[in-house]
Amino acid sequence: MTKRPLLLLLSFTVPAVLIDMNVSFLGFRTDLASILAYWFGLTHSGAAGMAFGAALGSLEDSLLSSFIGPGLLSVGMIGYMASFFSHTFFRWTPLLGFLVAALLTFFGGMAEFASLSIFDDLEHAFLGGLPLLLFQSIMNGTLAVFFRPGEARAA
Amino acid sequence: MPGRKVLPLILLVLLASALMTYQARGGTLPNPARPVNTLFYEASLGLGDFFSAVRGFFGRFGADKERIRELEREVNLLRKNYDQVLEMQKENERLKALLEMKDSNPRFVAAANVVTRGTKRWANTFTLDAGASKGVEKDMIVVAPSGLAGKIIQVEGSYSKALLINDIRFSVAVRVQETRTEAILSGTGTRLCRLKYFPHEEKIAKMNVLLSSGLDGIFPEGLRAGVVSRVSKEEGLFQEVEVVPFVDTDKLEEAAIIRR
Repeated sequence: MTKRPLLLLLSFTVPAVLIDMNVSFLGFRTDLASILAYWFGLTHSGAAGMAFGAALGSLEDSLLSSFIGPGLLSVGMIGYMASFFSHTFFRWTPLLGFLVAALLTFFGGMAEFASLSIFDDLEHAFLGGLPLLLFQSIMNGTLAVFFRPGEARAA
Repeated sequence: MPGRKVLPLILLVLLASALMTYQARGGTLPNPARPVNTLFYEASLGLGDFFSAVRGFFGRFGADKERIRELEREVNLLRKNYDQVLEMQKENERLKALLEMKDSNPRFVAAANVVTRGTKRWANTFTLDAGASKGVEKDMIVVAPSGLAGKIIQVEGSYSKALLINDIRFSVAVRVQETRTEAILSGTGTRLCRLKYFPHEEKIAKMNVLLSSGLDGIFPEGLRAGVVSRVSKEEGLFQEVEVVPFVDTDKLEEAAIIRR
């Protein structure tokens, strides 16, 4: 990756992480890390999307909790699977973009919950986190309407 | 080949599993991103006003736009001044309350600002701008003037992370102020907490106050924890008791850290 796209990527990533750390709508926190990983996976290869997602997820893990791994796994998987959905048998439409991003955000959240339940010896509240996960899925799905794999690859 | 395509994913799962297994067994990972974390925390602290303004903007978004424009023309300057004075007044009140706590509480260790709330999805934590350099240690207690807010779970040089009272992993031994009955107060992951193991034969009512009993060996006796909001006497060994914590963790901006 050359210097300019890297700077462009950082100019999205840093505000996204700061927003995830500080901003909430109606009491719900955002999950822009997942949608960024989704966008990166959509516009690059699966491995690149996964590497970017894993880096972003582990950064959020170290910033927002003391347990490294759940974010690395969930955001990394979103980055990888976004590429899988866009580069295989689906014909891309905004509706499909919404559904895929919402499903991947939800799936990532479930992977995070499963990781914490298995590896962190402390109990975690599934029902407490579910409304937040649904909100984040819908929000990320809405943002994903504006992303198109074809255009980005051509650019 | 499909097998080769999923290889990165398998490697990711293995890497994450290895890291989490290591930590679950008590291992501590070196954090190479520590300087980056500090930068993000500093930026969060510096951008606090900006994010408050953004929150304010979205809060007003649904209101009558025409009316807002009219009002904004008339009172823009006055409101700006008033907001500043109000903000300073509120900050003064909070700091005064913390100062009183510092003077009156011999257990006082440090006062701290909430830098960021770590509410990702499944946990309720926040980061405070006081760490080992101010004498903060793991398992110290986070309190606000209104009561118990949480406990410290991780300490860095100038920052620490606290587990909030409403996190499902949080438990504190409490006593009902009116009846002196003892129980365990636990977070639920939502705004409310729950009283665990409260027997049917014991009396408890709405608006009863819960204070820490000191019997868990972590929290000192007498900290105000919450107030009973609902009691349900369904079948089973114990009563279902819902509790509203005195500290609204969503609105907490400053806190004091005390030792046991």
